[in-house]
Amino acid sequence: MQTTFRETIRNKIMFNMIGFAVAMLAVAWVVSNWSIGEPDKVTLDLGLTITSFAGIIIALFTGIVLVYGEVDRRTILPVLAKPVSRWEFILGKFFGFSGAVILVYAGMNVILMLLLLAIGRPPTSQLLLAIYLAAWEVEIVVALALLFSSFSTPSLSALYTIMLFIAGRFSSDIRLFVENNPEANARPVLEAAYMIVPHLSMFNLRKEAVHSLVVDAGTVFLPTVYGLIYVVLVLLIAALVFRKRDLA
Amino acid sequence: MSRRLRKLLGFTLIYAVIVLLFGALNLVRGRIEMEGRLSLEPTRELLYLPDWQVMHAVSLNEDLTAADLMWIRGVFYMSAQAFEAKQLAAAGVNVDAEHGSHDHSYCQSHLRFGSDTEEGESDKDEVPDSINFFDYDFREHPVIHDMLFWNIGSEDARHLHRLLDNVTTLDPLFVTPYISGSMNLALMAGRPDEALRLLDKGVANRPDSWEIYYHRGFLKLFYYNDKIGAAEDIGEAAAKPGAIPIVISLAASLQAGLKGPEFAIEFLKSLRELSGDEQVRQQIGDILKRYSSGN
Repeated sequence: MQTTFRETIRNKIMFNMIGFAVAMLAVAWVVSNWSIGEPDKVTLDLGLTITSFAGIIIALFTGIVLVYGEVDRRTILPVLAKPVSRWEFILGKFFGFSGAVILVYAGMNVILMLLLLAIGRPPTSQLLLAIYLAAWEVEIVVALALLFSSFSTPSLSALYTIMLFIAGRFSSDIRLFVENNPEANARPVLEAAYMIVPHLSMFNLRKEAVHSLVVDAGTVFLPTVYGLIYVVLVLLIAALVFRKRDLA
Repeated sequence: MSRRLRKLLGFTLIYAVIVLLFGALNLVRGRIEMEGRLSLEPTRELLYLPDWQVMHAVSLNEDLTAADLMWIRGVFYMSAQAFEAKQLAAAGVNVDAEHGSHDHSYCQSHLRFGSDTEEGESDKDEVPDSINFFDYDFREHPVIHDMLFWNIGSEDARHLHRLLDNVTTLDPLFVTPYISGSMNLALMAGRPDEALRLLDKGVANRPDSWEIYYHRGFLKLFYYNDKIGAAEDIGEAAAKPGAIPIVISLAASLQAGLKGPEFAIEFLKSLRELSGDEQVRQQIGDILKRYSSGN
């Protein structure tokens, strides 16, 4: 776990994305000044979107080579030669990697909050909750990237993870389509897809953060429970798949 | 020639080629800009802005960010219109048939674009004091008509409402598009109906915003001569948290004019009780004193 954490922190993609995200936050501040009225609202909107996407891209592009890289370079063999089971290996990879990604994600949001303070919009509890739930979205992408990395090549892992991420963002639209088209031939497939894709829209509290709306406990607690169960489920599947994988 | 010198010459040549290419690039770009082929006019780009469903999909459900980016695009368009208005006002020219038959000579002499009117200049078209506010239709007065109907917008202005509708669908709680957008639609584009539709949507989505109610009241008063509707809306605006004292004063004036000064006094008393801000309560108290003393 510690080795994975250190490796991830030192990854070049990570540094490039952090630099890019910080630059984009500066751009967000500049762009917000082009708006007539409520420039702080525009800064917050763009800032939250940038940090969220940066976190997801970091999770995606470093996660897809997490297990595959070790198998390809054969560095996994000395690890498994020790009394470390395969599921422990997967868990260690997950905690090390997600710890690093969440640390970086938190750092970017600290920069965002400093920017908001500088423009006279102090962080609110709704903003902190929005950042917290968006972190769960990043965790789910980490888990999915790890799952696909455990049995597939990096390019296919990226493709599968991106597809699930996009489907997850539009999960409410899938449901809407299913409800409005009861006679559709693809209904069983769509219903199955709706059960499988992560419902990422429930982790989106941007509207509440930007417009300072009231957030009740259920809006935060239930997505947290959903995120936890989904991550555990994905890790179990990853462990099962990796247990049977031939490393030769 | 030594190897070191050859290497130095090689690097110098490469750098010189890069500088020359960069210069050539800028020359070509400058030429294209001169011929006006680089981009569409800001107004024409409104034609090609996608609807909210497309933005919702493209932004991967980041509706608030998509709304912000569309709004900024709209700001560019409205700024271009305002700049055109300023140029026309400065020139004092009549607008041609494409933009609407509108005389800008009043704009030139009375509206302030950062410069004061000359000393000694008399306002010959000022509204006389003896007019009964509630019997008078301000749309008929040439001065007020000039202020309210600039009609600068070209044919592309018909797309401004679509843009604003898309922005407010993606982010219904974003207040500024309702206010600035509606004023642009009414003043510059000459489309008060669309402005009113936008403000109705604003009232439905943001019933807590005093500014939206206030602007709707303004529109009803000066564009539709609906004084009762205006009094209701401005009265609602005055009752909302954050309403500025001048709005409260205006609301009281309208209520006094329509229903009598006693009603205005009761209206102000109820506002004072509802307000949680001590400073606002004090200001309402000052206005109340003026009404009670008969001023």
